[in-house]
Amino acid sequence: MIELKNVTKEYDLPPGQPGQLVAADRLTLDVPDGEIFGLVGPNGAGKSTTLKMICGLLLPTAGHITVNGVDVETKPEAAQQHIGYLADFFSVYDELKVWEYVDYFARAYKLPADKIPARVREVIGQMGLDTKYDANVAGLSRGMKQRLGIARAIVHDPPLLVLDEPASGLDPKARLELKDLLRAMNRAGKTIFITSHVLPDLEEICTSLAILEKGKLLRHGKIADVMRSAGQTRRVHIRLASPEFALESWLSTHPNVSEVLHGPAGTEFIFPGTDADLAALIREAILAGAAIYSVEEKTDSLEELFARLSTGEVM
Amino acid sequence: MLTNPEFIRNVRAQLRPGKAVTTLVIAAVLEFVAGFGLLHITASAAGLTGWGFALLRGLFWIQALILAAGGGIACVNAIYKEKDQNTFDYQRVTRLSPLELALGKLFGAPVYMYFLCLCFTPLVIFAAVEGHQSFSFVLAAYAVLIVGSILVHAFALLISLLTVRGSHTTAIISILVALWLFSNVFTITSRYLYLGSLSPFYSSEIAVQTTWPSTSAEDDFLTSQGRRNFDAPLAPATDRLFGHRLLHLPVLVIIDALFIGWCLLALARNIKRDPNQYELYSPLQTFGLAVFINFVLLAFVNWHANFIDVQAALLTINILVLSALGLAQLRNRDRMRRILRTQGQTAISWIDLTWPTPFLFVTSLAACLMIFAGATYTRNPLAEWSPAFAIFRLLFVIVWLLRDMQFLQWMMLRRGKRPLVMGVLYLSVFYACAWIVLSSFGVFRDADRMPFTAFFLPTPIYLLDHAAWVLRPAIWGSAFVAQWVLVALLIYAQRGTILELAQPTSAEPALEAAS
Repeated sequence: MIELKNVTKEYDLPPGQPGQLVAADRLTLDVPDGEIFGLVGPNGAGKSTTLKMICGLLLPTAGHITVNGVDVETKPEAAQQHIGYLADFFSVYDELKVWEYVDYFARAYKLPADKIPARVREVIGQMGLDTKYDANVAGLSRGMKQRLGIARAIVHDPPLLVLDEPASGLDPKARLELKDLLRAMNRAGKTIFITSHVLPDLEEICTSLAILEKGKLLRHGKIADVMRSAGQTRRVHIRLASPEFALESWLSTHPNVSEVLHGPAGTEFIFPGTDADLAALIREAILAGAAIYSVEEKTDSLEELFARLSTGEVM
Repeated sequence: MLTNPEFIRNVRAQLRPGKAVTTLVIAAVLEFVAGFGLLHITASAAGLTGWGFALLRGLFWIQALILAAGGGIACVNAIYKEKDQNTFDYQRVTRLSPLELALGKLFGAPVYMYFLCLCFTPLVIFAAVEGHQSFSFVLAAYAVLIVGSILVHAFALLISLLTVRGSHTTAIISILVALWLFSNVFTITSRYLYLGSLSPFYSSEIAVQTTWPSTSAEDDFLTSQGRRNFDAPLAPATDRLFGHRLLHLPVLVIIDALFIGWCLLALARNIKRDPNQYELYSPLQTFGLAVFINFVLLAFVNWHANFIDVQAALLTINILVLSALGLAQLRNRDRMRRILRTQGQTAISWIDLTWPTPFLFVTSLAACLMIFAGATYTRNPLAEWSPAFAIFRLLFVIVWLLRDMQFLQWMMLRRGKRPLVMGVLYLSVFYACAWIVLSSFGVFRDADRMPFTAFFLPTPIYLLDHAAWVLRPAIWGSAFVAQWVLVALLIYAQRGTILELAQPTSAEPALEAAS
């Protein structure tokens, strides 16, 4: 759906600071159809710039971007027909009514005139704004305005949604609703390209992700692949039904086990072996007399992985 | 236009039923009171001295003020406000073509001002009926009002597009000053141009006209002996196109419409572009605009008064035009970076390294050659004129223009906050200082020392004639050569800045995908 080839964007640093800011440094990325693709990175990493370049709002200093096979630079309007864009700021026309706002964009995206009223009503209903159909935009809450923004982005039924920090400023309930909405749209066949600071949210809904820092792509791919490529270790947590068996001492003698920690909630250790190796280890422990109540595998969260990548702990 | 989404949005936002009805009711009450009061005064309404004509003139002047000034301010706000509210990007990603978006804003942004003018029409009709004025003049006045205002709106929209955060007030003041100049400049140029006012305020003049001027087939520019009659006065409401008398109304409509077209071209080229990559016109279009403006000037120029003055006046207008077009062609660091990264560091062309000198040289040469050709074929044969001096003056103007534009381009490629503004400021300070110092030494008063001014100021346009040349040919020549040397030095400095910009920003390759 989206293809970036050696995309570079350079800016001047503010006067007084030497050199240039590279907001995107030869980014090469391929986002397949049907993905929910997350772009993560700290402030100033180049996320919004990348999104704007995908939408044709900014021209890259070098490189090429195609959306659904259409070159964004040479045929921006054709490419934009495939894109629904939501920026990281709440900006709507306060002087319009809710239906007028959506109607404006339906017309601007050149939907057939006879289908516009029905589509406007459908999209407003989809966003749960039916009761506000004839209300002034100025009177909507922040969450409602965000939903109105999404209504605007999907009114022309684009196959790709490009969302820049869509959850920022939303309360927890509105965030949950947004996640459900994005999942539903993805199930309906839309590809979603999303940035967010809230990494657990992204981890929950994304199928793939890319990690960006100082314009450089640190990792990208399926979430599991990204985690594995970062050399993620398997941490196993075992709880016993009765404390008689000295699991900590037994594990310490095992050659594949390291960093054994014992606490009131159970025993935790690092085990780099495969799933089959782990199953064999559990079987051995049971045969040795351990009354195992539960076995849990703990993985690094996206936040932890991001922290490790950005500090250079993992390259 | 009625199906243009941007126009519909503006109508919905600005003409809410409550607001529109309130405006209509207030206008109706005011007009009723005014009409009732006027019907009961003893003075006559009819004729040139009647109150009907005075009211008609006043009403059109007020309508011009509302539509041109009020609409102009609305247009200045149109794009700037969208950028400020962060809604402009959403318009840019729609399927609206750039021209549709521009037209929607051009007619949509001032829609309330159009509505206000519409509210005045009952009183205009009342004044015309009471004053026994023919409705053809009222319709003509409305044509002038609307076409002239659209031109102001198109220009204001262009200003709005180029306005950056923090300069909104300056933009509004600029458009009001431009409107004031536009409305008054034709009084000044009437000495050189056989062309009446193109301003929307001219509608108040045409509304009180009582007869259409004669446009007989006979060319009143020529005497019965076939010689040019340079002292023939210009009849009211007429222009002279290459000496042929024309009604001013169609001339105004056509010229205004053509300039609206040029403004729309710039808007359509840029309205959906990345703001860092704005380029008002392509080099070819800029060349075309310079030629078009000079064609209009030459078509209506009045060569009879004082030939040297006419040439100086045309060059002065050209300096303004070519400076504006030159500024529009300057490249910022972002654009230059893109050119460098696209072409590759080793393949920077000589045109890019010397930009805008080659382009401006060709464009200003074309403009100057048009003036030269105009002077050769239509000048007063009795006036003193030397082709060699004319060419030398024109070349002096060209190199002087190149020097300043090359300086501004070099400044614009250097790092800094608002480098172009700083460049213009430095130039202004330089000219002010040069003028003060030269004046205080009395250089302008002494014919022997006057050629030295040509090193610093564009004095050859006004002061270089045969007598001045004979006095100090070496100084005039040295000043001319010095300008070229300065251009070369500035190009050299610019080359250094470009090569510095061409340095790669990152040596490390991006990491490969995880999968």
